[in-house]
Amino acid sequence: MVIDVELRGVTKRFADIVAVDNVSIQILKGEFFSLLGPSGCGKTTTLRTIAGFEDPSEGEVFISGQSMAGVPPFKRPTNMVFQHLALFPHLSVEENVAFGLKVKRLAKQEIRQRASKFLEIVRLSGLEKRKISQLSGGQQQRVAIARALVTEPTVLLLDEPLGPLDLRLRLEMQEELKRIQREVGTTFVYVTHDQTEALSLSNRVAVMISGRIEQVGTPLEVYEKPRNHSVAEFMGETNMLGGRYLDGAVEIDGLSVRVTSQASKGTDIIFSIRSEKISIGKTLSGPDNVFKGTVRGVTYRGSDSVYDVQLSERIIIKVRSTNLALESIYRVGDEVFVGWDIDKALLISSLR
Amino acid sequence: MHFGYMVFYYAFTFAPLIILVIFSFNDSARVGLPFKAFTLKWYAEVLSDPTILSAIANSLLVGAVVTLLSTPGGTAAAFVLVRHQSFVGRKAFNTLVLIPMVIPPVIVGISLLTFFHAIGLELSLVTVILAHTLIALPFSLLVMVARLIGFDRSLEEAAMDLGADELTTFLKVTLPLIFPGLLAAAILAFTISFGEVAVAFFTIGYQPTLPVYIFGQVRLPTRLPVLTAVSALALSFSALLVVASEITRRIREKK
Repeated sequence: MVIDVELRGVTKRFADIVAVDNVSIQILKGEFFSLLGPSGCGKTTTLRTIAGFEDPSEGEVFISGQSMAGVPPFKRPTNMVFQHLALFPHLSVEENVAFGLKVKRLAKQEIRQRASKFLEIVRLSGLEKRKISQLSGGQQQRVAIARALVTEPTVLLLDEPLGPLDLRLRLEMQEELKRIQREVGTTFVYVTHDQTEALSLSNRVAVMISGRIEQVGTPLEVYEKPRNHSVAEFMGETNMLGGRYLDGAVEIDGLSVRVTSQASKGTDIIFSIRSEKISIGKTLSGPDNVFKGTVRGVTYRGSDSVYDVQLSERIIIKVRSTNLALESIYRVGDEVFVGWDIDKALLISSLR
Repeated sequence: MHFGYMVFYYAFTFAPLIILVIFSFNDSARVGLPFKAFTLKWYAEVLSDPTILSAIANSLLVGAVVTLLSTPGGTAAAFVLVRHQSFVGRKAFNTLVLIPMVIPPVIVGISLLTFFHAIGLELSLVTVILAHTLIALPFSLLVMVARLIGFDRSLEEAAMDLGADELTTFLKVTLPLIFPGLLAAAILAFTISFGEVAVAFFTIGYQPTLPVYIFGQVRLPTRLPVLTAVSALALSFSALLVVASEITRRIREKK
């Protein structure tokens, strides 16, 4: 396995704010790698450090094994798709795409050929002479991607490029990004705050919170096996429950919740259970844990609904349920049963 | 309603200018009604008067040099102000550069006259050029600051990211995008210099600029018709400049 990008102990401070805190990651050749985290977590700064727009305060960035210390952005084998695209408004579609080739002083014939090849890859053939302002949002995305790929960089950096698009266009562009990445085989480093996007696009995801990388893994790993409290809380809709462990169960506000745990008797533990892993029904038998509760809140979302179910005085849990039939859509005040198998609950080892 | 206001606005601003142009064609030694007959003789007189022609030439020369000095000068200062958010004395710089705009021209004139005397610089077109550059600079600066504040710097980052070094980025991205601002700043600088009389009056040597010449002649009633003709010419020239710049801008935008 060839490592394309490596960050070793990269820290970036702005005045007294630590934007990126001792980040070390290795990104493999040809990989679709995502940096996922809430806004302000330092993911964009990390990306800009790879591109060369920010110098790390500590640590080092390596691309294809070469240290990038002191190498300006225009000498790095990385290209970026900017958050607001940063297309040149005074140039046509073709001139935008050809920009990187022109400054490299390639022959006119080759510039034309390569530009048209990449316009074809992003499916914009025929719009070469258009002005940027005459394109739709989705088309502008495609120009930005073609412009960044045309010089065949080792790594393509994407800074939340799908942010401003509406939902349908986003989904369409996600598919397009996957296809384009398969076609060109370039390493993609993708920054986003959108979990669904990161999970569905990436080979591996790094979850970044408050400047630190909390976990790196496949989408399945980071979602199903969060390494700690922060990741579990950030990923998906989760219920955090905590209490004293006694003989295979945890006592929480009068409820006895069965868990699998290697914890020793009498210790306090926290576990997380995702909203979609919990069953809900007028009657319920089967799951290891079954509790009676009252629906306190309903968020109807078309394909599914999210219920806030009160189990005891202090415990309200979120339950997500697919809307299979009209009868299985509950209303506020309904008495329901909720339940889950013990292996669905994740023990969060690190207590906060 | 707004149509009526528009008519009023145009009438208020343009009526005096139109009347000036009309009387420049009036075949009468006295400027005023009635309009006797159409003539071009005042224009012929302008074109055959060597002092007027040299005053026009002086004004064009001063205006051109002032434009060439104040546009890049103001632009450089605007870059410093907008791009370098923190340096020692930035806030003071921010205010100080604009002070020449609010000082009454007569006071600027006297202070420059004193200054040129003090350093032993003889009054000539050079001193007028220096004086007008001083007046035009803050205007060029303001125009360029407005342009640069709206400038998306990620465009420059994108260029560098694609392999363009600093100079190429400036020439291929920054310059084309600030060009409309540069054009506006240049025209503003030229027009300010071309029409300026008060400061020029104090700093002029033996070669008058056109406004100084007109100012000196206006007390002689017999010269008034010729002055209307030369003023109409200057007016058309300024109008042409504005129209030409607007056309250039539109063509560039269409491209």
